[in-house]
Amino acid sequence: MSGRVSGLSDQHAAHARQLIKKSTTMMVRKRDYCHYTQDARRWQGIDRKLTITRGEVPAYSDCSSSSTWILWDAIARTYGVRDLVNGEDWKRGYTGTQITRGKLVRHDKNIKVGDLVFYGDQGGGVPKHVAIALGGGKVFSQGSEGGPYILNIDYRPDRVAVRRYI
Amino acid sequence: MPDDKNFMTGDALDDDPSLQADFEDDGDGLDPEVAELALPDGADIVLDHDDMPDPGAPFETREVGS
Repeated sequence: MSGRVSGLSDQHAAHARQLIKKSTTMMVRKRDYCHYTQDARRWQGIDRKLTITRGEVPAYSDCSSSSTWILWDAIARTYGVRDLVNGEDWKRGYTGTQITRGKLVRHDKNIKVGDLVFYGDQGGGVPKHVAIALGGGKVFSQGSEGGPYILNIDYRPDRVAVRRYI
Repeated sequence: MPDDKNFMTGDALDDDPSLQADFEDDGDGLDPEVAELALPDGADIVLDHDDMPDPGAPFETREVGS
């Protein structure tokens, strides 16, 4: 038993979290290239099997597709982990599926890189927005045409949950 | 940062002894590159759009690259 939601070893989980730091910081550095969209192009990261190990990031994404691609690249493409993020065989998903998967992280002191941070409620328990924890109280957020950004975890006042998939 | 801010209960890994390995220090510190790129509190950002399911474009019909 690895003691992790994903079943990854300590070494592989640490590597996955390093990949997440690389992909998120690369997307922020390439902000002019990484456009926000909610249309079908948002899934090009997984569709085209883009990977940060080759320096690739998706040109189009939104909050849920970018967070899904980043975790897919870190744990599925690299280590073959099944879709623990949306339960949709890495083919679709949004905050409404992400919030039902993984394991809740109740205490802020236990938040780790790669945990998904959910904000707001658009009804039925579906969060309005999702970001990725980067450690040190920071998150990566791809929620608008202005982003992606790295922000403080409580940059908006409606955080509702943090969940782990690694 | 306030603790216990997450209202959901019932499946928290915090209380699961089998998941204690995830409390080890393997990636929760502030990386210098992340700190460099982080915006300060109160920065003028474009507000987030609300997320939604795939708008009529199931995976099977999406363009799939090489």
